[in-house]
Amino acid sequence: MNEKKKAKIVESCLNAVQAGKYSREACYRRFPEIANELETAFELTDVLKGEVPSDTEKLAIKEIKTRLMNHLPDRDLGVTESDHPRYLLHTTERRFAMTWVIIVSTILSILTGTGAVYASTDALPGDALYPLKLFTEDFQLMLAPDAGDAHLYLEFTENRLQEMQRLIEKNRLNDLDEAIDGYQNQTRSMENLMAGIQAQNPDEAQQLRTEIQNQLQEQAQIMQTLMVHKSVANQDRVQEQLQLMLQTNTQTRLRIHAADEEVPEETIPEAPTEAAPTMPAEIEEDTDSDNGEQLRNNALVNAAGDGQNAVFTFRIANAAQLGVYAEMNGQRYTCAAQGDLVTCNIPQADSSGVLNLYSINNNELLYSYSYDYDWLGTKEPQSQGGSQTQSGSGSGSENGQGGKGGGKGN
Amino acid sequence: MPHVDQPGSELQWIHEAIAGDKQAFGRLYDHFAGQIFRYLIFRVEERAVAADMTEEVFLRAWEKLPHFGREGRGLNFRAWLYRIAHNLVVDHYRTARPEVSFQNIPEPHSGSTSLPGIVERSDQTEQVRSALRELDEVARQVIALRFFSGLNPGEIASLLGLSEGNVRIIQFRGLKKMRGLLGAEDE
Repeated sequence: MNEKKKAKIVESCLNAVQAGKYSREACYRRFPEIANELETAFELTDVLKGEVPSDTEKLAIKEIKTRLMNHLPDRDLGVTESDHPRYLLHTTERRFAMTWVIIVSTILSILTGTGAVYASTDALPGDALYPLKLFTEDFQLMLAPDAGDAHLYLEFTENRLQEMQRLIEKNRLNDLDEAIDGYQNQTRSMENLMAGIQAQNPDEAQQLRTEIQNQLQEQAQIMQTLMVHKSVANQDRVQEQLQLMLQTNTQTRLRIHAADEEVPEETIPEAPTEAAPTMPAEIEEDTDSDNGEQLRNNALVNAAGDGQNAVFTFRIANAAQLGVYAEMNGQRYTCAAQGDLVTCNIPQADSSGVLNLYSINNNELLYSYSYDYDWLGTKEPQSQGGSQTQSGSGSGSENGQGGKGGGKGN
Repeated sequence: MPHVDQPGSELQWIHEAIAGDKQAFGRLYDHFAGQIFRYLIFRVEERAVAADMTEEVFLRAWEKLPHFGREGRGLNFRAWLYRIAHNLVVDHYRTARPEVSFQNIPEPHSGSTSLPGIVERSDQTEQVRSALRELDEVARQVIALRFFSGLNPGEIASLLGLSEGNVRIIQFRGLKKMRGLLGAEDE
């Protein structure tokens, strides 16, 4: 049983015992491997929750109330957020920044004799006006406050992604580099900025975090769609770049989610390695649902390899919504998901091994595929996975044919 | 709008307090101040500081109450108060003079005038408190909020800006360490 599962069961037992559905002893007997932690948890519950306010504390609470009620300001019901001094400052700064943007834009427009700045908003990497577009963005960043910066970075990463979409549609693949670099840099800057906001104003960071994560999630889905676009499907370099972007996106989301200032890296849940034993029904209900049904329905569609790289395609329910990454030999690989189809490129794949697929959203195991390929073309007998969570197994040849889960290859 | 899970009377008080009714806010104070005060004593270990911080928690709550629905982000009122308290504790330790370590904060004297007395605590509580000091800050927060304040992992996750899974894992590791610190022998 891995740590994540143990942690879940401890919590479920605590709740079940508190609700009177289960006795402490029954929990110990059912989960002997975590009996020590459960015992400590119950002891803490007894010791810490057993404390009742003393008379002196009650007296102190009364005194505090007297002071508090004397200090409570009357509520001015006419005051709205826009009148709040902090909000006003924010608005003023933004207004000031935008004023400067307009002034500089106007000067540049006059100098160039056209509405160049405005026209530059549609510019793509490689276009003459593209540097002007980047300059305008930098200028906005220079003048905005921190929280405004975070929104601007989000907006600019979206710009980069839109540029990539348009470049791919126009088949201008050679111009992708600049947009990709821009995306990577701006995502990293946004993450650094968030660390600063977190340190100075946790409340503000909390609000921004949700917004940023949602937007990054949407961006990841767009990237996955781009990876299977017909113009780039066979472009190894572009695929590699998109995978790098997806990695940056995923890592940024995970780090922002973990609020890394407060949570050590090691506390990010690790990918599960083995299944937990069946739990009593009432406890099972309390834990996050295992994905048994999902595991059963997921399947390998295709596998292909050439001795250097392997490409696996799977059908995974709701793959695009979940976001999927693969893990093999402790290495993680991003996968492209569209609808229920997931494609994972594994460079330098071993001739045999276990490929585990996880959800980017919650790190849940989606599918485990045990394979045994001779990349030179000899079909090997299929090997069943060793752990209980392995729900798929297969073997294949260099063209990916054969085996329980294998399909047609290239 | 406030969280839908509020018990009816609390919800009514919250609405009235948002509308400017100080009496209603006083009832909310009566209902929650004890928990918050004890949590703050537990965290800062100095009664007078905890008293000031309790006053500040409710003062901020009064000021922010009109935005509770938006800022609470799904937290119920109690968890929202704990978040304000938690932020104050974080600020307290961030601005504390370095030479005053967590371990060396003096206990108040029983002769204190306005806020009298150390509450007698059992040896067990003291043992737990000592063990908690040995945990890292995040684990200490999680264990205190879970076992002292009775918040659930979801509430703690929202409060600390972590995922629920992370909170459970931090709690599990904290329990493991606490067991060793409390001198229990593993079977």
